[in-house]
Amino acid sequence: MGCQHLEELYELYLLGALDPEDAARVSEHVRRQCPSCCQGLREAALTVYLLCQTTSPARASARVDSQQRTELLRRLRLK
Amino acid sequence: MNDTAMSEDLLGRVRKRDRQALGELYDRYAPSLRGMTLRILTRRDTADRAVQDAFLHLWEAVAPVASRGVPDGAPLDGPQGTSAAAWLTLQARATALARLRAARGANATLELELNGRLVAWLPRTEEVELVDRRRDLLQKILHQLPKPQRELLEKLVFEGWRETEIAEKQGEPLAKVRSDVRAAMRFLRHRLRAVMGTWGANI
Repeated sequence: MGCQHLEELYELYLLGALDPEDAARVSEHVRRQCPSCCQGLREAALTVYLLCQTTSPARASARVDSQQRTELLRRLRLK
Repeated sequence: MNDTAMSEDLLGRVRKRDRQALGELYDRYAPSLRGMTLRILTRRDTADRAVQDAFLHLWEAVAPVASRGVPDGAPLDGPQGTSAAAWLTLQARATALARLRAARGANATLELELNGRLVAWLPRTEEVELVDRRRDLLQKILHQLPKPQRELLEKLVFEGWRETEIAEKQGEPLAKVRSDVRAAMRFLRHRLRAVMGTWGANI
């Protein structure tokens, strides 16, 4: 089955914004690594990335940044 | 070393289980990821936690198959050159959204399975960095969308509502919401193609 009918769904799939039936239709193609869908998703991922980047970076103080990084590495050691 | 080479070098070191490299990736990407998760979750502590979780997922996702303990042995680390920034952005958003949805009693599951084997379609580092370099122009494009469509995108991207939920909340026919959302996405998709491909487009 072709994938043209899914073209409009890729961004919404990546955003988790589809209803379960539409999401399942895309998932099925993604799971079997459909080349056309992979290409569409790659392009869609750039659009979603752009949308996510519309927020300004939230910089913390150097002290807080250091604490957060230390906490990340502590959690990593526990894994 | 340019940005692309730097990112790929750090991701390569993370693949080789270099914890220091994960810390360096954190320094590089945490502020922008925190900006996004803070907008979704509004609380600093939960936003920071979602960012940390994304890095821990990345550590797992790029682990060599032998150390991963995944029964089917499916490749998780994707092709060389996969953008860490895109991966982390999608993962941190999915984590934050799952928390937001759980907090409001909605189904927390996102269909996106970044922790699984579905990373072959992720953009490459150089593509994402091109988006970053042209972000000012792309922001201008976003503002060409009619305000109602921009508000719809806000609900989808940062508030985690599905199309069906938006229609219900706004008391509008689902067909209208779908039509507006998909028109906005179509517009962005076409403009992004133009910006990524050539400067010749009349934007």
